[in-house]
Amino acid sequence: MTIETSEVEELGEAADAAVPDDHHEEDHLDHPTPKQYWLIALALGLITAVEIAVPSIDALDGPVGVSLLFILGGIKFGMVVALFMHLKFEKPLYKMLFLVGLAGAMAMFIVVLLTFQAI
Amino acid sequence: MTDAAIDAAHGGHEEHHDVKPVRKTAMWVFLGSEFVFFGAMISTFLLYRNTTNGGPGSEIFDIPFTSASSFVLLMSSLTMVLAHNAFENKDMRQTRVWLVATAFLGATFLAGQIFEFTEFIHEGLTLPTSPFGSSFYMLTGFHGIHVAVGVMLLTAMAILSLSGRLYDDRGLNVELVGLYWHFVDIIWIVIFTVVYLLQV
Repeated sequence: MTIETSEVEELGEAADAAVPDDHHEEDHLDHPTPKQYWLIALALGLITAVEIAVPSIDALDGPVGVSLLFILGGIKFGMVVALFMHLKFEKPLYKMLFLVGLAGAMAMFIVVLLTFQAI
Repeated sequence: MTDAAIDAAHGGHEEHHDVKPVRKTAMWVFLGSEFVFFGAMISTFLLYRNTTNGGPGSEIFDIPFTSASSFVLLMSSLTMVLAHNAFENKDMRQTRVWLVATAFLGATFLAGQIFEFTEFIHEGLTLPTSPFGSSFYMLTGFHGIHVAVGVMLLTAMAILSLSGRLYDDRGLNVELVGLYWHFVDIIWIVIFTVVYLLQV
């Protein structure tokens, strides 16, 4: 089989053109700024402070306090995943992989606790 | 042109192919599988949280101390994302500063965990004491191992950056180590809520 050198070069150029060089830059165009990262961290710190206070408040004893702790923990979890891990700005594939793992863990959690009649 | 020359041309072109998305996808797959791993451990702890065999239970938890440790780990996510931001802006000096800061905060968290374990052992809670002790140490211990691995990766990144060998397109880069580090943080958010705060 004989292929001219110019043909190989043309193929290479066409392939290079199909993959833009600057797509990495596009990946993080919408990411928060350093100042916003500090504000997010401040919010996370404040939520943690509220979380620590919840168990010591008598009025929040029982299911109300437990629900509140889950909600606050969920907000912190979501903020770190979406804004620090940049999942909010990522491709649907990465979001799906993350959610599949999370759903797998939740399913295992429920199945194990139901099997042993813990819930 | 010979076949060998064509192969060489193809091989040469493959070097230009961007493997970054592949490695990033692999990291997300790995993190997804880690969710299941920690999900199993958290489920086990919840199953045995009241099975203390007469030994110490959750009453020995020092919530203010663990809260401070949690805050340190949470702030390490901030320094990590700032390292990533500096790396993307090609500011190697800032990248190194934030990487070292993240490793330092991670090491501080680990030191706190070692102190906490030592205190618990003095109070009679060891791995074989009870199912509560076993599941507690397995869960928090495995998380601690993940933090230790993260600290080693961050230290390696900082050292590589000193010699200008911190690349974006090969090996474990700042973004991938950052994803791992943030994952370790979100797992601790869950552990702190479920294991510590809900037991008080």
